[in-house]
Amino acid sequence: MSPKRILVADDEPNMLRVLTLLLQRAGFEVRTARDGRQALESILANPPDVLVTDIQMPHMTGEQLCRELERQVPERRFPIFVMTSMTDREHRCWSQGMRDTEFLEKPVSVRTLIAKVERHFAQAQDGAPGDA
Amino acid sequence: MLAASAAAVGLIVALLHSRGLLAIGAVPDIVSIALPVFLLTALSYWMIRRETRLLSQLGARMDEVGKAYGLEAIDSGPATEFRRFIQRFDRFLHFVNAKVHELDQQGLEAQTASRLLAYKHEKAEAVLDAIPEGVLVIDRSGVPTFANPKVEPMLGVSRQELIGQPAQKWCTNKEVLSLLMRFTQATDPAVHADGIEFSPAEHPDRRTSVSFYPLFSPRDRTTHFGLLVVFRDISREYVAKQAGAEFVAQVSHELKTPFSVLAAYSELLMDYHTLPEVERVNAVNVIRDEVERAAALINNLLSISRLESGSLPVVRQRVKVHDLLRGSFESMSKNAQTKGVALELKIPPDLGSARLDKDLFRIAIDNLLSNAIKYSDSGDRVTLSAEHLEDRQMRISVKDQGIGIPAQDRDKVFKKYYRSDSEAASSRGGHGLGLYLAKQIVELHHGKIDVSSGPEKGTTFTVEFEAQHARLEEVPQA
Repeated sequence: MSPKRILVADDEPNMLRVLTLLLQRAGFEVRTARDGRQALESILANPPDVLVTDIQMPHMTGEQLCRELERQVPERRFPIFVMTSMTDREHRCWSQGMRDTEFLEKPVSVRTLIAKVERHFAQAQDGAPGDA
Repeated sequence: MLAASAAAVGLIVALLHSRGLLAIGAVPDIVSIALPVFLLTALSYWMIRRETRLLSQLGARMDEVGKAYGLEAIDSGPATEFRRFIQRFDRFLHFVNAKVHELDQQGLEAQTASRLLAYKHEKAEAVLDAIPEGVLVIDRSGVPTFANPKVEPMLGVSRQELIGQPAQKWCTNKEVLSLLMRFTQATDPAVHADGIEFSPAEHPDRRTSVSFYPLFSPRDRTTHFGLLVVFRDISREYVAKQAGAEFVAQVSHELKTPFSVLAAYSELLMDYHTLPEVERVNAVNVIRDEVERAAALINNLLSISRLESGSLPVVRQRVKVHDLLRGSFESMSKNAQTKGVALELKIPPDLGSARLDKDLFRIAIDNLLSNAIKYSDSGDRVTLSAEHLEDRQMRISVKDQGIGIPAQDRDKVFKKYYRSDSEAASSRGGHGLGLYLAKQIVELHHGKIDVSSGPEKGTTFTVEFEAQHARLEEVPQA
């Protein structure tokens, strides 16, 4: 079975680098994007199996990226994990109604992220609906 | 009256006698004369009685009127009717005179009281007009009877459109209208509510709070006059509250991002034995950089907190500006390198010294540099330069080729918490503290900070302050 492809979007080079390393070591194929716009282009060209995105990024924020995906790729099959600094619900309400979109509060535990991604694939394989 | 009759008879006898018609001893003639005299006398008496009866009635009426004002009636003594009338008339004239005088006094007092009342009314109206809140008085039937001028911009209607008109005609905000209806229709006038907030339809950027107070007579709490509605412009507080919330979000992001990187690298280092050497070294370096980054933000926050509470002492000492700028340049180089931004230092070697608080001034320059790097893209150049001006002034410039600042934002960049709404700027993180802090620090040194920029043209921040040229210095210190 070919490795699952994860797209990571973050404007922090250090974060991008360490996430890439950790996810690669967990057996994923990792693609990176420095902002939302790059991520959108990458997804439109070749949709990943999982999208992990930060919120605050230049050119296009993580929120705008998710909205664009809802608009441009309504049939999206991959889950989205959004890394956020805000704990309150108010800052997450924009994602209401979006399928398979989950928030990960910073500081993000990459082990937790990997566990969630693996659970998603396990459920998808069983035919069960993905995490929402 | 008898005397008058006798005199009349005497007069007639004398008249007849002088014409020879009346002779002594002519008795029948006397009878013929006496009869008319008698009749004339009776007629006179009757006529006089009739006249004096009118006088008597008028006198009685005067007594009656006088009695109502506490005057005693003139008793019917020995005086004749005519004399009594004159007495009554005289007393009545005195009484009327006194009364007119009294009324004059009362009129004067009433006029003074009315002027005083008008003055008080005007004063109260002036007070209500001058207070910064919008004041609206609604009577018990539910229509406004008074509105001060401040109400007009808050409700977006003129006072002429308000006064005497039911709320449905002038209140466009549904929430305010429903509360107004609740109050004006309340059976218990003592009900009151905390203010509600709304943004007028014509000015969505403004915020108004409305409070309702039932109006009672100050002397009698059971007398209810209606409702006092107070509108307060809370736009500034609202903006400050929003800026504060935005600030919390930004600081949270700025702090949690380095912590996320730290957490991820710590997870990476857990498997350090399988990690290539180069990654281990990189991990340690990144951890150090991220800790510095978090510490810099915390330091900025602490400096601002101390600056604002007045507990930040400014310790000035002679500082070599060249060394200070080089220190800042070196500490920011790594940051610029990571972002692919070329950081350049252009300072003459004989820059001289200035009396500065070294630590504080360094924070200001660091913030200007980190700001320039933040708003630059990979491949851009950031230049830190310094030069001497006339009158012992020095200018430090931080020039970038980044996204620039739109004209409407240029005056605001030094405001606390201020962050540009432009998408290009807002997507780059930041907490709106760095430039604010830099300005505060420069001003503490009696210097001035300025910005020139154009969108897409890059930005230059300049700091001017008093410095000593190297050639003029006495004994420069480290």
